[in-house]
Amino acid sequence: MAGPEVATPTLGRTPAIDLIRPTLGARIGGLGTIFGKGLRDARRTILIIGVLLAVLIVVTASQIALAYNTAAERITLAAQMSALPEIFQGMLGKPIAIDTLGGFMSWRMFGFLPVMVGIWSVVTLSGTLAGELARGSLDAIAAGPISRRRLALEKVGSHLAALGIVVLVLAGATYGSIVAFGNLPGDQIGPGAVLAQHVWVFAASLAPGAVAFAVAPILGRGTALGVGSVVLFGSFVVNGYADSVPAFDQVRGLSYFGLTSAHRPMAGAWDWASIGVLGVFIVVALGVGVVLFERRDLVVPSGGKQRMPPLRLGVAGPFTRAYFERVPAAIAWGLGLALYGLILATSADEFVAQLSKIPQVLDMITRLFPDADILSVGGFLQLAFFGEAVILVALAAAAFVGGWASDEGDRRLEMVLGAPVSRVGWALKSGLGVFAAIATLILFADLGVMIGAAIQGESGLKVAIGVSVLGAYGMAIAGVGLAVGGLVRPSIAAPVTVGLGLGFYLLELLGSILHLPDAIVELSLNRHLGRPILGDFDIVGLVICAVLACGGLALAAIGMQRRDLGR
Amino acid sequence: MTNVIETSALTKSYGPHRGIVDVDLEVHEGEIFGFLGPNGAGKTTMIRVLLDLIRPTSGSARVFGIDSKADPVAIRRRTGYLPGEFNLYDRLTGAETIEYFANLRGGVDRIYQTQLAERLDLDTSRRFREYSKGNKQKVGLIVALQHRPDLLILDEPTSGLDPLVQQTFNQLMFEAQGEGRTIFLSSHIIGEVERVCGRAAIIRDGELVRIDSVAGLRDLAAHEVELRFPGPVPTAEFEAIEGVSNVVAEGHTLRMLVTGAIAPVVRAAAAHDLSDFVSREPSLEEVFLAEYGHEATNGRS
Repeated sequence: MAGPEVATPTLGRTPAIDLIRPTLGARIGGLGTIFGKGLRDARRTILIIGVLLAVLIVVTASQIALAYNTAAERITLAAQMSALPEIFQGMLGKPIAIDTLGGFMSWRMFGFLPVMVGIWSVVTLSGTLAGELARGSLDAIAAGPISRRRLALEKVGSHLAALGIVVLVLAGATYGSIVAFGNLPGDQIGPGAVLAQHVWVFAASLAPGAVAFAVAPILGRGTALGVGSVVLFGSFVVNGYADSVPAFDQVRGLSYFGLTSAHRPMAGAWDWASIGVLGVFIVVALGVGVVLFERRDLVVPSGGKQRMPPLRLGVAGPFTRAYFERVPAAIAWGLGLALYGLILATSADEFVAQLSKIPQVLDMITRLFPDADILSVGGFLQLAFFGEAVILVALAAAAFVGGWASDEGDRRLEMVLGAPVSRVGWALKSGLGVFAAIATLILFADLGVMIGAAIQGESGLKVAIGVSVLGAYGMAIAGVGLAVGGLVRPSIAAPVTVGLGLGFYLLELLGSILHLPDAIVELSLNRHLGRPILGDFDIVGLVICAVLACGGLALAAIGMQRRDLGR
Repeated sequence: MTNVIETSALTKSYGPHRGIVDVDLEVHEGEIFGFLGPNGAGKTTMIRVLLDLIRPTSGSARVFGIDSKADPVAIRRRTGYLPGEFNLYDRLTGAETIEYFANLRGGVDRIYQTQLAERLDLDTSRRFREYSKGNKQKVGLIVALQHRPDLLILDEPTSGLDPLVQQTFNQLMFEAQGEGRTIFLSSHIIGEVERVCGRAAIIRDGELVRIDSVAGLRDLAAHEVELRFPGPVPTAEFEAIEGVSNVVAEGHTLRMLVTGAIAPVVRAAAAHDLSDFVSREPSLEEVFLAEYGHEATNGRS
């Protein structure tokens, strides 16, 4: 006998409905998944970085092929470059097979390519979770039916995909350039070598970002950004000057640039083992970041900072607010520069002593710098410190300008202008606060190099005055950023500032190698800073800096007065 | 009567997008004026033009008799402003934030400042980034109120506040009005406007569609009237009265909507032996919904 029919409980269940599932296209490159959204958000950056660097690669390859179009010229070039002491070779590493197109490109261009792309990785991976957490948008995502681990993995995955796309574009541009312009024996190399070179570019660009990602759940976005930047620039500088600075040589093994320096497939040198080690390091760092994010509360990290005693500084008005808001970052950037300068300055005597033992090098230096005492602490700092510190000051200036612009972008300015403060007054005073932050940064850097110079028995004051020119440079490019932010919109102020700094740096770096016309190379402000640590000031350059800084500030004020706010 | 705010054919366009269109508005000294509209209707655009944060495409706005473009600093000196969405300095504590804005005004009455923090129950020792949404809103309110401005412009002021603090907020508004100050309160929360405002305007798609006292606005909507008779209901008699609609008879009960004056219905009802008479006054919400519902219906037809 059949029992009573048992009804299926339906209480609390919603009736079946036809769900419209996200399409595959939406999942990969649209709004279907966190990964797709991340990739979608990065598409403009992919386009800008990919196109700019690809153009740079093609132009460099074509210019090298045109300028050195015989085997004899290539051999001469390689001999000249190899004869330069390491300090003059800059941050490019050992010249390997630079008489070939691939070898020269891997030495001259690919040395700093991961630095530029690495900045993107650090900025993105330090903020992909921590930044969104601070903005409050992560709560909404984490409240969805998705595990924290998957959320973090998709976020990281979107950056890996974006970075991969950029690196593939660069690999295509490199291979195309070599096929098109490689007209001498040894120039033609296979796609495998190009790809292998770009595997290094990918890994070296990702490594500092992975470190930033690992520490961001504990330290927060700002500190993670700083840690990633230190890893990036520290590794680059340590590797670049390890042969010249004994202190750097001691820690060269910690630099991922040093670790992988023997992997130059485009120059015929392969070292997959080092790439493997770097790869494992990256995977571990990213894994640590994912696990920490998974385990910790979804709260904005305090960065482990001790609360400072209350100081009623920075609340007197727009100038002090803009200035003191940026003081912690200015001190951090300044201490970094100071440490860099201190290490270089204290290593100067050893460098000079070694250099003095090589008469032909001494002869060459005298011809290159006839009016300068290059065999001095100042001379060494001018070469090794000033030239590279310029790019760090540019990045710091961009960070300060970005903070200034965020007052409007984050809608603080609306509240401030609810008070009887004029737009012009706010722009001028807060802009001066940015300049004061740059001055603070330079003050700390000055202290570092002054102490280093004093230890070497040199005039610390003279060196410090020379280093201060970096402040004028920083204010100049910050002035341009302020002007653009005031005249057009705040969101582009920092990108313009950092773009200008990188542009000036690259123009000076590549201009002479590529035999670009003087009229173009002279457009780089870096060419007009003189050799101030040696007492050689470029007055015209300083006036240009002053005009850019003051004019930029004035234009920012005019722009703020004229346009609608809150765009 | 002195007008504190006066706009004439005020228009603001964002390229092809509408902001506000030909807004003519007068806000009198000493009144609490409500500015009602749904999200995106143009409320914030209107406020931002008044404070010269954005510039009008055409028309003019005068605050305290001063053209908003001519001397915005003079206007803002006498104004307290709470934006609908705002962010402040994450690293500063609540006290430092409040002090900063007091300093921007050249100083304020510290006792009143402290009283405001106490009345709104705000712990000012915490950093701004650690505050909840409601506490951030309290900081914004203190910043707007602390200098006892002649004009308060408040955009969604009770957003995130709990009911107890909302009550305190209402008291603060009435106190400000009692001191002769003017309040321009923009909101999409109708109950808030109904509780504190004397007059209100309704904005729709950037255009002002109604301005009146809150009571007057209520009269625009239909009263719900319910009459209970001991015997048969005289439906036809009431249907014939002007302003009466939706007459429904259910047993001995007659229900209807009355638009405009209710006296003719009362007189007709008085002629009968009634068991009960119930009249419910419409809420401002019903006026608001009727306004938008009416337009939506027209739009569909």
